[in-house]
Formats: sequence, structure tokens, C-alpha cells
Amino acid sequence: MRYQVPSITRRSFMRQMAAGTGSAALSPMVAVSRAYAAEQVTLTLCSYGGVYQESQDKAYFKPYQDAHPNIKILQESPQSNAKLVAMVESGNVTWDLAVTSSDFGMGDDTKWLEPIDYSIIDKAQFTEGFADTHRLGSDVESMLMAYRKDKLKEGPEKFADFFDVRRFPGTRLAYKNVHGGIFEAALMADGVSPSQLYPIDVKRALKKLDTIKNQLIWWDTGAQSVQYMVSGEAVIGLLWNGRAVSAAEGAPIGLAWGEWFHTDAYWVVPKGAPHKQAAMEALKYFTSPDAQARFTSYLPYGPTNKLALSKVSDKYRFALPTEHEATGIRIDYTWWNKNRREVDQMFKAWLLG
Amino acid sequence: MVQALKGLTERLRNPQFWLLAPSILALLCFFVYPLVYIVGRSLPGGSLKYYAEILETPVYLKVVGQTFQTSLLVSAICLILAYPYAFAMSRARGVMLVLLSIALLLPFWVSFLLRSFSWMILLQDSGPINKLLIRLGLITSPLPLIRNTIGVTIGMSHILLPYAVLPIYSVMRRIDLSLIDAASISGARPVRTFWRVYFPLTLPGVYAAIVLCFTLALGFYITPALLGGPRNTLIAQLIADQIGDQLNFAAGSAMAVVLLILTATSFGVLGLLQLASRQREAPTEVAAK
Repeated sequence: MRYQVPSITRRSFMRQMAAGTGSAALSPMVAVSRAYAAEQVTLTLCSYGGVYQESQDKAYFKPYQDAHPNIKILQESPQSNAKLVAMVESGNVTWDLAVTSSDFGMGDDTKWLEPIDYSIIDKAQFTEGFADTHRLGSDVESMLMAYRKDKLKEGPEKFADFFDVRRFPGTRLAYKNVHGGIFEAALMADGVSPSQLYPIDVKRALKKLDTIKNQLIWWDTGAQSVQYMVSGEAVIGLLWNGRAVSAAEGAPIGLAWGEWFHTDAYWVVPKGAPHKQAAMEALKYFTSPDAQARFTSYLPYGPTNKLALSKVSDKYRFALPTEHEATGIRIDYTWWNKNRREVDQMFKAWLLG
Repeated sequence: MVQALKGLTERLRNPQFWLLAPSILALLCFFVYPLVYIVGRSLPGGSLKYYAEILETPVYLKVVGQTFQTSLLVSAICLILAYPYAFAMSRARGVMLVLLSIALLLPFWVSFLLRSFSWMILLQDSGPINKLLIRLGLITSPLPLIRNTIGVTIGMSHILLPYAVLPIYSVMRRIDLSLIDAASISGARPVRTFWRVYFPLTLPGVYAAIVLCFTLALGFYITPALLGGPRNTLIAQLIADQIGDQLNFAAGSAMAVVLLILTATSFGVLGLLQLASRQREAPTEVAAK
């Protein structure tokens, strides 16, 4: 038996047309439900994913949605500055908010961002340097030395110890990123004071790095840094404090707060974000003292809001950068953004050599 | 010219040609357009400065060379491992075939980030392989299995092996084994039979395997980052740095275009080799038949 291909006859066509008119009659009702929907706002935000974003969800996003039933937060991950830039440049912005790293969001980058609305957000509440024109500090993070307590007789304190292979023998671990702090650490170990770091003396830093080149291994991803510390592949590592804490859960690992670098996180609103106003309102809540204090019970990242400092959770107090503010060093990303390309080529040549 | 136009209009009239329309449209939207866009981005204001930079920066050229060397090495290793494996699969039946297929395909379904990470744990100085060898007294200090070319080669070959086995296997499956019998009846020894009859017949699969492994290897990013040392930087890592870290889309695009040109060139060379070998092998094939 053969099957006939169903074809559109004049009759079936008419029937469908009639059905179409019928649905047109219902359209006023559709319009009503749309009007109601207009009060609902779906904010789209993008963060780093993983435990970080889960903690943000618990500390910021869920409580905010509970308090504002008309706001729905749509979460995306992982955030990348390149994606944000591509979105803005193609005029197809879907994010209302994004988390970003300290090297992004000032100078030339501001052309891709909306200014933070300080008529809603109280600038005075924030620690100096966190309330910029186009970005607002989300949490304070650090790049610091973690070390194996079982493999070293004494713990390192200053970056000079990282380069002292006699007192602290064994493999060292560092972030394979030109502005990840390794140049600054090398210069400080060589006697440069934090205020004299910039412009970076690249040759001097590489010469200092030469002294430990054979004992130095590198990490590209945070998970890799944890693995290398937990397995004992390295005895001292320069890693993010959040990762150092998770490594300490799997092995006897100590944190050295004698000298450390800020590697903070910021909130930004991409230029042309669809719900700019709602994003600013949400930002006010996400950076409020209570929300930021709540965040510290999930991760060892400190608040940028001064009023939250006294409310932080005890759970990770030992590992909160804000508890060690006096020894923190700020990397000059403005300098890096201007010179990164050139220095990176020299760094890569050194690595390959 | 007129002839070509006539050919084209005839083709357009052929309904079968229109079956291709959706795929052509998809390719235009999702491949050709982005490609043209990337080429455009690599030439900011029509300037070739980022291409010049690649040619003038020894580090970049070194990385390009490294990328080709690694891809060649990995393809060669995949081929050496895949050929006997594919042969065993082509002769296996029943449970054995299922087992061989599972052993090949199961790792294929696990994310390769995860597999690279597992290799990192296994191969490191403090990892189980080195620990075991030291405990057995075979070595006194750990073997350097990671953060060097060995680590990268192991990790990449493991990931690319199925891409080498499957095309060779599919060709081997179709070989008429009575040809082998015919060769031995005619007095050829096994080695001669293999090189003169069996191997030439498997060449299309071998070429497909090389093309797949080599071109995929050229774009590897996370495996060399996790298993290689600083000297094992590949071009994909440079591109990721340019775009993700330095937000220099033009420089990243220029590198991507260079990678594409080099890939296309190696494709072309392989294609020519295949064509040449086919012409050379053709008389043998006829004789065999």
C-alpha cells in the first residue's frame, strides 16, 4: 500500500484560517497577562560558577529573590571578560550584571561598562578602592603563600622565603600568568619595597626567577593548584586563598600572611544591560553589610563593605584577607593593562627558554 | 565560463541539489560567516600588524613549531597504537568485539578535561605510578612523566586514540580477506602479503586517521596546560591568552587565522600524498582483483 503525502487542500486551508481568526479574538486576554508580566523582572547575571557561585546564590541571590517576588535571577557561568566585551561590541547584551577580576573595569575598559549608580549605593560604606566609577567591589580575595607544614621545619613569611631554597627546600608552585603576582613577588624578594614595584623591572624579576627556575612548577587552573599542594608535589605555592583553604582540608597546609597580593572580585554592569536600574538595586543588596557578612560563612573571601567587617563569620576568619589587611599589597593593574602585552612576550620567552 | 554557468543552472534545477540547501545554509551561517568575521577582526583598520607581529616574535614562531611537532608526534603514536587495535577489532566477533569497542569508546564519553586531570594525578612525581616504582625499588627518584613532552604526548594520545582507531577499523572491516588467501596461495610470505596487499588496502583509513588526529591535535588547549611544562605551550594557549586575558581580539584572531592556514595547508599536503599513493597503488589493486 502506498501512502499519500498530505497536501494542503483549499478546505483545510480555510479551516486553519478560521482557527486563526478565533485566536485573534482571544488576544485581549493575552495582552492582560503581558501587562502583568511587565512588573516581573528577570535579571541575568554571570559569575565564576562552581562553589563560588553557589555561595553567592546562598548569600545574595536566593535571599534577594525571596524578598522581591517580582525579581527572578537567571544565573550563567563561567564569566569571561572577553565574552562581556564581545556582547557589548556586537550590541547583543544579555547580562545585567557580571562578576569580574581586579584587572578589568578601569581605564579603557570603562567603555564597555555602565557607571555604577551611587545615588542608590552609598559610596562611603566601601573600603577605599572598591567603589570605582564603573565597578563595585564584591569580595576581597588574595594570592598568598601556602606551605606544607609536614615538609618544612618552619613556615615561610615573606616572598623572600619563596626564593630561599636553602631554608625552604623543595618544589615551588606559582600561577602561570604574567600579572598573577609572580613578578611582584620576585622583585620584593629581591629587596624592592611595595611602593617602588612599578614600573616593573622585568629583567631584574626574571633574573630573580632564574634562581629558582629548576624548583618552580606552574599552575594554570585553580583545581591544579590544589592538587599539587595536596599531593605534596610542591612544598610552597602561591595560590588563591580560597584554593589554599580547600587544599588545607586535604593535607597539613599552612597559610603565610606576612605578604600577600589582592586579587579581588568586582561587580560590573555591561554597557547596554537590559535592566540597568534593577541591576543597580540588586547590587545595592548584594554589597550590603548583611549579605557580604553572610558570604563569609561559605567562603574565605572578605567583605568590601566596611560595615560588614565586624559581622564576618568565624568559620574562615583565619583565612579572610580582610583580617590581614595591613600586609596586603595591591597589584597595579592600570600599569599591567598598559604593559601586559610586551611583558607577557618576555615572560613567555623566558618560560620557553 | 558559459559552460560553467550552464552547469550551475542545471544543478539548481536538480531537486536533489536542493536537499543540500539546509546544510549549505547552516555552513554559511555558522562557519563561513564567523570565519569571515574573524579574518576581518584580525585586520584592524586593514592593517597586517598582528600577522607581522607573529612573524617577528620568536616566541610565537617557537610555539607554532612546537604545536606542529607535538601534533606530528601524537598522530604518529596514535597511528602505531591504533593500527593493531583496529586490526584486532576487525577480526574479533561477539563478546570480544563488544569488549574492544567498550574499552575504546568508554573513555571517549568522559570529558577530556577530567581525563587530562586524572593523568596529571597519575603521572606527577608524587603520583601512584612513581610511588609504586619507587616502592618496588625500580627507581630511586621519580621519573619525569609530567610537565614535559612525555606527559603531553600521553594525555593527547589517550584522548585522540579513538579518532585513529575508528576510521582504520571501518576500512579494515570491508577488506575482502580472500585477497590475503590469494596472496599466500600465490606464494607470498606473511610480511610480503601484509605490505603488498593488506596495508595498501587500509591506506584510506590510515590517511583519515592521520588527518583527524593531526588537525584535532593542532587545537589542543587544556591537556598541554595540565600535563605539559612551560616549554610545551601550544598555539591554542596563546590564542586563549590573547582573547581571554589580554582582550586583544585582533591579535587572537590573527593567530587563529594562522592556525587555520597551517591546518588547511597540512590537509592539502596530506590530500596530495593520498592522491599520489592512490595513483601508485591503482595497478596493484587491479592486479589483486
